[in-house]
Amino acid sequence: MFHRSSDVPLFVDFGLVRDLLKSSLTQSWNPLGPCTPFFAAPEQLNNDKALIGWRTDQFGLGLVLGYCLTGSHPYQARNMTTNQAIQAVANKQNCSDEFKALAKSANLECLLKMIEPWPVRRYSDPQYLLEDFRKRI
Amino acid sequence: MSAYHHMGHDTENLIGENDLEEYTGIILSPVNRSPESLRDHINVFREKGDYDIVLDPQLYFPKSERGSLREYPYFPPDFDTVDMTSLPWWENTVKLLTDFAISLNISTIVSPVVQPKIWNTDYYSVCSSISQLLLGNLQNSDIRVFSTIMANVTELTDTSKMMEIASIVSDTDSDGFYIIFVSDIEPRREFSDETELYGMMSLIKELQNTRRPVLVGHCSSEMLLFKAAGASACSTGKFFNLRRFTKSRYEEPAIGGGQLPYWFEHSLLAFLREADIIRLLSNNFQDLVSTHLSDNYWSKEILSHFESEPEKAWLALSWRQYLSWFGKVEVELSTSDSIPTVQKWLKEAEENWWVLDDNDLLFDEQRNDGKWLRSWRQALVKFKKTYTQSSPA
Repeated sequence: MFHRSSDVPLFVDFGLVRDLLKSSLTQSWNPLGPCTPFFAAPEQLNNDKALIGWRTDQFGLGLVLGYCLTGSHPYQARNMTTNQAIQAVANKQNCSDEFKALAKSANLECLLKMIEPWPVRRYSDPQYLLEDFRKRI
Repeated sequence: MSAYHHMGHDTENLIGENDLEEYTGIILSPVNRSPESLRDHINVFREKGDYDIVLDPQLYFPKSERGSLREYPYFPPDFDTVDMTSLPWWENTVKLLTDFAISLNISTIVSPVVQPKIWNTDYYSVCSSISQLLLGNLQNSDIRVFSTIMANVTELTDTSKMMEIASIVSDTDSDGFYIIFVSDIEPRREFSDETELYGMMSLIKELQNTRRPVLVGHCSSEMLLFKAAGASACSTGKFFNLRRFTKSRYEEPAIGGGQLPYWFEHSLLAFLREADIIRLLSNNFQDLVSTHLSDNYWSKEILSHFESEPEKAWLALSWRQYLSWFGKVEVELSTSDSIPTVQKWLKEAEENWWVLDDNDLLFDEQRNDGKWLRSWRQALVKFKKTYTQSSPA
């Protein structure tokens, strides 16, 4: 999102918060959690609520950055439709070989870690993510 | 890192014992002693050395006898009837536990967890939240908080399930992880299911990859595999029921009676009874007795004891001989390339069992035949293939 017609990027925090000690508003029986599917993590697409946390946002950010880098969804291999890419994420497949190669050639392997299908394999701390980016950029 | 000593009934005298210097951590056991006694022991341990003293609140079983646990100020009076999934209830328990922990001279606390009836994602989410509550309460103290993770080993045979558990429990800011594997296999017996072992190793590896230390509690000889998987440290104790997590510790009077002495032999990676040690020695298999890391101060004491006082009990020596082996293995595998080292040890041990079998040398204990080593080797090969040849990005 950009500020009016300028090239100043605008980040919006909608200020959605929830008391973790209270019960959830999102029903567990929903097959799909609330999300923008194209930039969603597997745990959102599968409504695996127990897996949703800050690392879910990390995945979304990784997808956005990957999209900016390559112009396509990191899980979207050649000849794949958008829906197939979303399905690949939901099925916890690996990202496309094309994206892996591009990320490596750009010295941005950190993006691959950000979009690991399982949260435990993503950065466990925002500080580690920042450190890795700073080393590379 | 180094080995951790799991306290049980009457185990304090092993801290600072000769040839057990590799133990630099102590996991306290409230169930076995009163709060006053626990406090006194901590002071004694602090005088003996610079130990990482870990408090395990041991709230594992709501409905059990629990030894001295009821005497502890954090023990919930409504523990038998409360809804364990209620975080507001845990808030209060964790607050009481925090106050107690701060009053002790400990360095680490592991988060309280209950062994569930059903191992589902909701359970692990609650465990993760409890850990986060404890961490929040202790953020201004020097006490490290490790998240306790109880894992049913049969659940870990499903890789997706294992990854799901690892993903949920790693969603905390805790300083490390304390893993307890839960299994139906009796403490004396070795784990022998390749897929279970592989699952345990994978869970350790996935958590270790989050750049936080992983302490595996209640280990026996299978700790070789846990170290190969990357465990920062493993804990064990003098009794078999400390070397495997058992409910019986929280149900029966915690006494140490009725036990047989066992020697731990590195050449076979097995526990041996006295008759079997003598059988090896008297059948020209001296080269399989007291080898490598089981050749320690206590093994020499035992052998000399067999000669000088053959009728006298050697249970106390046997605990020390095993503990010495464990501590030395822990250090050796922390300072070397552990996977090839463990592969070599397992291969050699299995070959030694074949030699014994070829020579019709059969041990008194029928199931003590080394057959578990095949599944240990298979689990390690699979682990190596998965994690060292195609490591995650």
